Amino acid sequence: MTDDQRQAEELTVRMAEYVASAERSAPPSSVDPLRAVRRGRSAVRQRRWTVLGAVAAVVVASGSFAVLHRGSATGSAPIGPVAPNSTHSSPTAPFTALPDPTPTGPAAAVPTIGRAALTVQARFGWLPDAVAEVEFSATRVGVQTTASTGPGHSTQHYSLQVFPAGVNPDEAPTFADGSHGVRVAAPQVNGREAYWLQKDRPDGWPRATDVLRFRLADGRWAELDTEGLEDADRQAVPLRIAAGVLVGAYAVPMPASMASLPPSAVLVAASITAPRNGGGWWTASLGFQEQGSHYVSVYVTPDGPNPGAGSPSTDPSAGSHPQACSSGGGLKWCAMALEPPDGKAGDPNAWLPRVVGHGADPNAWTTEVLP
Amino acid sequence: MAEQTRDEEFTAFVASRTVWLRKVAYLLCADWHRADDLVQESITKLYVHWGRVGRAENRDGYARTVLVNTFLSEQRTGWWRRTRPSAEPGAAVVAGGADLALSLDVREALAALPPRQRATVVLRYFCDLTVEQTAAELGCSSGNVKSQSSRALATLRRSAWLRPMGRAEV
Repeated sequence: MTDDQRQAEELTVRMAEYVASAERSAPPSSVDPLRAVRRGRSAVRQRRWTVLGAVAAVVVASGSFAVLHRGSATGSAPIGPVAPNSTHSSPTAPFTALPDPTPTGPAAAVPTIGRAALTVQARFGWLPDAVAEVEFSATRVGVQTTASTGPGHSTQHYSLQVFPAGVNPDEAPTFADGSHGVRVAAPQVNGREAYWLQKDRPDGWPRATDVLRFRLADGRWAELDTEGLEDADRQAVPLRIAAGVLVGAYAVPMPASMASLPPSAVLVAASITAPRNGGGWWTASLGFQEQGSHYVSVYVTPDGPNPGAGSPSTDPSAGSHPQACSSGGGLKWCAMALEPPDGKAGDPNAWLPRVVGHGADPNAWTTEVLP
Repeated sequence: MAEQTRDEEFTAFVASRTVWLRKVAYLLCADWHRADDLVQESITKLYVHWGRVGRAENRDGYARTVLVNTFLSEQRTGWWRRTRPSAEPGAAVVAGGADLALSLDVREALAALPPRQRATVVLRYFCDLTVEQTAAELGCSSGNVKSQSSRALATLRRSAWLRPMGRAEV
């Protein structure tokens, strides 16, 4: 057992002890299932009427049937490109979409363009010096670019997403505590409209400026979600980052591609995390679901020990999942199954030969990731 | 009749899971009253989508996903974080002696983590989910889960809570 595995086990035990200890002096629970039923019924009724109203409006306007995007009853929609069978979850619209459970049931495919597995609609330009790492990712909740600070700095995260063309993001979402979002004017970004999304809760924090929405040059809305800034920076830094955003579809080069896929495989996630200024350790991964049930993750790293933490070799859970690995050209790539293969799907040994490595030099990486 | 059956089924499920969901919520927010609010909000959402939940093979996983996303949704505006500074213990007073020391250490260590790292730690090490399962529940990539876990562990190693585990500071 490795140090990390021992530490993980210790952590599990201590968290259980902590909860058990705290529970002994916890106040009686105020959770009331019947109250949930009452509120839930009301929400269901409201949703039915809203959807009916939206359908009627579309039919009247177009004279024909239209496909309604989930949660777009008032003209708003969650972030991210629309994909078939998509179940986008908007954190600011808790009643309009829920994430599907996992790992049961078919997963939503991530949107792809051509053979690229990962295409972002905007990238960061200027970032604070403390930012050390940038991640591009595509999942069922959308495509985003995230920047994070490195060791030695207080943790800061910046997440950038772009709404599809023609979509106006919901300016008054209902939050989980029952409060509502409020649009508060922000200084223009590059001469274009911008606003903060705050809460209407009377005792809320008046300077809640973690979410900045701003128009891009092509008219689309972008959202910058910030975490971890000191009060003095909480407006100035997001505004400066927003002003420097580079707009345009960018297919992210990956260090490996798939020569082929099983007929029933669907791409459900793609990501790459790398140091902001190049060099150092990076990780890339492609997540697939096969036959609507079996998850397989193909991940790629430099071949060799990770000088920091977070490599697959230090992952305490990696050893518990069936996986097959190969290496070459300075890369190591593995196919890992989330659950044991059943002979028909999810076999890492069947997936591994489909992976093609493109070397450790990022200049040789490819955007043609899918067959 | 259908609505009555739905309500009975929902109520039975929630009644049997409330204690467990409350524990997970408490680990996320370190305050029993807030934990109750999170669970209440989450089960309301479960009711709204009970048709889908009822068909799911893994209802517990579904409920946990909703709970964690509810917690993270609230954190997005930072209202809770800033009106109750992260180092501030919650309202509940825990038992004395060794229990008190343990609880304060753990609470302080978890509170020092940003919300997503805290959620990652709770899912990985309390709920015992794999990296991939955690990624799916948080709606992020497995690489992101690994980096969040790694950072969280590095922070926890520096805390009084995990220091006795024989691991040098990172």
